[in-house]
Amino acid sequence: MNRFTDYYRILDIPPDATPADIKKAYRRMALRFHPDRNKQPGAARIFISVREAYEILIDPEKRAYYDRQYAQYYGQHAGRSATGENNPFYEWSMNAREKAARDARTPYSAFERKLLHELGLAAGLLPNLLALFLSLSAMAAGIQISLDFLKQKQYGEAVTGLFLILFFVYASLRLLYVAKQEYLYRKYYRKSGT
Amino acid sequence: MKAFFLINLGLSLLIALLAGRKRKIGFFWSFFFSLFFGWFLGFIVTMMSRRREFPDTPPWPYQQVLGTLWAALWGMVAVSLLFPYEGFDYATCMALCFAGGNAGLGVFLVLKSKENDTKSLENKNKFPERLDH
Repeated sequence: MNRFTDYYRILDIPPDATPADIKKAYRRMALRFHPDRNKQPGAARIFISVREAYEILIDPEKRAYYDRQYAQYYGQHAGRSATGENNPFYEWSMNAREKAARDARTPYSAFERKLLHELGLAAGLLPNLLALFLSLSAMAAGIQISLDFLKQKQYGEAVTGLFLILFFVYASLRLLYVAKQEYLYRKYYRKSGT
Repeated sequence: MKAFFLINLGLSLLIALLAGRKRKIGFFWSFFFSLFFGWFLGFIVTMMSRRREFPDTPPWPYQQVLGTLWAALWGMVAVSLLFPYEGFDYATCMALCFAGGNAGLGVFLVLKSKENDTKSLENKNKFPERLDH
């Protein structure tokens, strides 16, 4: 049976997407649909499709071949043999699926690390650190004000201050986590030189 | 008070445009929180959200229940503050902002808990079964 799969649609990118766009789209989708993390039915199928699409589109030779099939299918709407067993696509597709199955069996954290090393991501760090600084300042101010209220035996205001301190502690931890992640992504992004 | 409101409005717009738009929280919610809770808290909440290209994190357990209760509770407070006995004064306006912001926070939690990646993407037909022809 002759079949055609729209890899651009699977990765949600335009046909003229650059390799960097493909990497970004793949990383986003693969992390989102990794079966170890995403327990929704259908996630594993999507994960395998995403990996298959990435394997084909990131390789210039495979992509050129695929683009011809793509143009044939969407241009003339003839599409005779995009993934039939007589063309190299069948083998490429099967190889990509085997890799996807291996990745799907990898624990999510290990897969995320692997992707970080392979692909990376550009992200600004300065706004995160600014927010972290503001949050820590607010926390310090909250502690000072709450202590003052306690000294004046205004317990109601002190409890309100305590809630604010708790919020800023959580916010600081969360901001630190986000900043750290964006730093790691940027570091590997620069390393990969894409 | 007008100047205070206008400065907060401008800063809220700036935060939502520069930071919120690129993050999972989105322009609307970033602007909403900055406007209702003040630009300072709005900025921190916006920056706590991850960039759009990062993978989604699953919602907390009971996020929907918590969000519904929070929205209902603060929604009632906000409605009651809409009809003050002694007219609107500065304190009532601030309280109304705070209650409205908290009701919005509840709605935000409910909406975020309902996001279902697989279903929404499948509905958009981004992952069709192979097109046989």
